[in-house]
Amino acid sequence: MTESTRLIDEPTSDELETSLLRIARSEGPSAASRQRILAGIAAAGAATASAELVHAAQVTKVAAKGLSAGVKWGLLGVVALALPTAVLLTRAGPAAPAAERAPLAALPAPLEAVPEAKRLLPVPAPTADTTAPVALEDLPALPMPAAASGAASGAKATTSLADEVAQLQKAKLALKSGNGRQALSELATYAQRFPRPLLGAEAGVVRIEALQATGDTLRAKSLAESFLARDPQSPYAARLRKLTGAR
Amino acid sequence: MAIDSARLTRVAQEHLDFVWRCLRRFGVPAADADDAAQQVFLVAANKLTSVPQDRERAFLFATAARIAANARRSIRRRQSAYDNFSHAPEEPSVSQDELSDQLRARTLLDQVMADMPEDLREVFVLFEIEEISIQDIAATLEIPVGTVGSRLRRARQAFQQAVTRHRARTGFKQGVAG
Repeated sequence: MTESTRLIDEPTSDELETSLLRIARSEGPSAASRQRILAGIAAAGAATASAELVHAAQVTKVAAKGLSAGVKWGLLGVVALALPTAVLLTRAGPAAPAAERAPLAALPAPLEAVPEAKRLLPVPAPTADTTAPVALEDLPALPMPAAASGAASGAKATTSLADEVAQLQKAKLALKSGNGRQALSELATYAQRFPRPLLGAEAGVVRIEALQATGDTLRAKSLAESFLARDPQSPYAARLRKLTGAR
Repeated sequence: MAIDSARLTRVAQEHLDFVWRCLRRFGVPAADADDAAQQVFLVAANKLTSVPQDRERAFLFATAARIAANARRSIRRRQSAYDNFSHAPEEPSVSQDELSDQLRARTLLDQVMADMPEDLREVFVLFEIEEISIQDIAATLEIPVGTVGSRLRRARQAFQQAVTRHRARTGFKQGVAG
């Protein structure tokens, strides 16, 4: 082994090792994702280049109506990142500990605080009114972005992970007792109370289990397939495949 | 705070794939990688004016590493909280024939990289996957060239040992399609 030769080019390298490295090198965002990310970044830069960020919050509310969802959340992301840490962490909880290694001394700190579990892209696309009653079929399987006007509201800030877990536990208990319909009802409540859930994936799993329990196997399988397409390496993937027969 | 939107756009176009791959190799799930990549550049948007042009990639790498660390913590906390209040999810136990070779290989790659200590993983990702020179890695990480070399040797050993362990444990066949 020499340090100037890559492992992938070493004649003695194992075939599986080189295969993994080839895969790692070839990975990247899909073309659609790439376009969406770049559009959001470009719009964010353009929106803030000529104005102070504190004013960009107002601009965003107006401009976002005419922009694609991806662009809108990109703008919101920039505004959010520029706000004081206290505001940023109303949803994210305590600040993350410092990185393990020393920061690059010659550069500005890459990140003082990042709102964890914060989704900047539209997954799924937000509707005009996220507080409207949510049908069972519309329960989120992934965290959803909040409406622009509600992002910093006190109501959202007061919800906690424990509240989410407690509500989800109600659904689980109903499911365990064999009452799938009650579980779905609890999940509907969950969706209404937590439009930006931290446990969206877990709620999605419980919902699929509840649908299966009520005999709606087609719907359960359909949702499971959507879930698996979105996150094929989820720790719940095996369970969902086994439960619903989804691929 | 002034933002050079033209520079931000150029930096994003040049380095998006690099940032995305670094996030993945640092443990961000594929489903979250797009969001995390956008976060990296939104952080950069507010800092870029103070980053020299020849240090842009280094800055993005450091930012990606931190955002990936935050993402991993968030995922662990979310998983832990749910498990504490409910049943633990089953271990991933998908039978070999349920997944394509590609998906199995990606899963294995994630596991192998996750097993690698972070300081070794940084050097491994930059050298073996991103094909960056040892000198540039030393500059990026602000460590001596000799340290890069020693970490790379240990990283390769860790990578090869992890692959061997996984193969022994799972009967993973050689010849995964690349």
